[in-house]
Amino acid sequence: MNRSALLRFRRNRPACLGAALVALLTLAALLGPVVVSQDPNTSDFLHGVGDLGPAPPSSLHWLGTDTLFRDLAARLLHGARISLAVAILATALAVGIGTLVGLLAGSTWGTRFRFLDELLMRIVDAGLSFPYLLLVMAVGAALDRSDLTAVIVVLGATGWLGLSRVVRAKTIQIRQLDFVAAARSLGQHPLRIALRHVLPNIAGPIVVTATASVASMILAESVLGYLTVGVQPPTATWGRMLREGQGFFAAEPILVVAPSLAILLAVLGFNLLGEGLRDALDPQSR
Amino acid sequence: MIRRAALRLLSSLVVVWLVLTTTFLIHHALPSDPARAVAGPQARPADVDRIRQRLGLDRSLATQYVAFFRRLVHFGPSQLAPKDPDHGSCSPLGRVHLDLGMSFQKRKPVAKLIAERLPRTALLAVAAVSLQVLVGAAAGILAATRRGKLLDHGVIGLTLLGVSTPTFISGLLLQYWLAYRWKLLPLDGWGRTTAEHAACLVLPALTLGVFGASYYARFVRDEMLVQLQQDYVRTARAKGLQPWRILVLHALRNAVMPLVTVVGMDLGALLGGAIVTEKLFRWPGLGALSVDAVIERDGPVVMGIVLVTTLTVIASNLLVDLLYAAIDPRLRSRQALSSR
Repeated sequence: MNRSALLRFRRNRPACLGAALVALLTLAALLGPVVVSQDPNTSDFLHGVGDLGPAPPSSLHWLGTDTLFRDLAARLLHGARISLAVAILATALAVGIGTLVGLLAGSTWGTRFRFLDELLMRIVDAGLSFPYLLLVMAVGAALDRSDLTAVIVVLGATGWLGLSRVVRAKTIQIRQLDFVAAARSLGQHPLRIALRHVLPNIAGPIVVTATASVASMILAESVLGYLTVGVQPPTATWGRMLREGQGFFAAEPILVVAPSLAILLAVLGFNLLGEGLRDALDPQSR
Repeated sequence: MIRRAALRLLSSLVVVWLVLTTTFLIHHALPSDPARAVAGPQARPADVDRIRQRLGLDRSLATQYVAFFRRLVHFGPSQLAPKDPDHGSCSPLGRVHLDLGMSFQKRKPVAKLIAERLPRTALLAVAAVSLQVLVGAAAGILAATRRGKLLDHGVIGLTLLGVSTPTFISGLLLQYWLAYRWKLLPLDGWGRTTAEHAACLVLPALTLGVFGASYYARFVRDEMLVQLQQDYVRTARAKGLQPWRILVLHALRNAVMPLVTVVGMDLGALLGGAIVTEKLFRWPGLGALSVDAVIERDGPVVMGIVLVTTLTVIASNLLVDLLYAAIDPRLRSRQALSSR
């Protein structure tokens, strides 16, 4: 990002809000469990359970407890860790695969290796027509107790499809420019052209797509938790907390409102950040 | 033209085959045992083995794979005798039979199960997509014409909130306020009469619609802004055309093209079942069925639903291409040229 892009970004108030939300989320995930020292998975039967309902907020439990008397604030913060870890690692995986496939397909488009482009795009078509939630659930069921790694791998392995299409289209676009033709006529290796000439010029769209992808990965992780096929209990995830609190919405709204707000703000933050980056890197798109 | 159509059909078939094979392999790679899932956790090993044999799961992977495709489409009598052991789970279309097998858990032909649920899912999909196209396009056009004004900022902000809210949150809120507190609509379910179906449809369609309309509004706004900066719009304005004519007949017609693609993809995806929304509102469609089938390891149902989903996605892609040609005359002439 050069100076003018940085300036554009800083003048864009929603983008700054997004960056702040993302920073806050990161901070909460990193430092939260230090600040709230309660264990997220331990039930506390000793304090404020007189009426047998979840304990209300107190100096001990800042947001009260859930229906199993576990500290709500601690669970939220641990949920932030899970959410962020899954979203970022899955996005890294998806961006890696998507960039590789898109670059390969785009670079072989219109050459004598065009069957490779054709094949890869048919695989992407098949993948996109595949109900991905079903795949995720199947792999979750396969590992029986689906742990963090399984969720990351599944989300990453299904999340690259759209990105590879973007990368392919951009690659084809760049490859038709004169400087690529010049590099080709100088006899440079196609691999070198793809990595040294094309890739740096499509980095912008990749970063923007990746940021938006973090948002959708957070969404996807919470959906899995909500459908009870994500990271398994007792580990606290926002989607799971929402599902567990759902039945008590009328009586204990905080059990639903707290994880909902967490999901909403996290997704909103990354979406705002992604849009801010897009506007900063590609001013014509506004 | 015929060659193009044939190629298209062939590549669609390859995609279907790829998806089915992947599903088959994944489903068989799962460690948990479908026979055990049918028999229950307390069953004796001998009973589990008996059930495995009856379901045909004791055969080799290759045998089961070949059997699935041989059964899928085959020939048989056009009139079925009741309880015909060879064609018990078939849906005959004349002499051609379509057979997806029997559900392990529900003990009904999978084709029947899907035929029963697909119309409900289709109803929800069509309702949701029409809602999001109408509301989304209107909001997007309005925002584009008031670019940088208060209305524009309002639409941008609201729709960003809309696309950042997962359906299980917005659905829960809608359900709580509209159904539980204000008692305007039924909480969930499907109902018995047509009027009840319609009332039950509102909440899930609205839930899907809020998310989709937000997405479409942003999309249409961006597309309209691009179009409004084009030379032809300036020319039209210079000629003194009324603003609404420029907007609707000139800019919108061009902005609508990419939207058609997105609508097609959404419709295809929703026809496979909106899993979360259907679950939340107990809408008895394909999405709810597919969740149960995966959790219960009901192989034939999983394969059947994946087949239907893939076909709907492919069909909607095809429809999009046809619509493109209908909307954009340039594509028609290009096709005419290439077919010569």
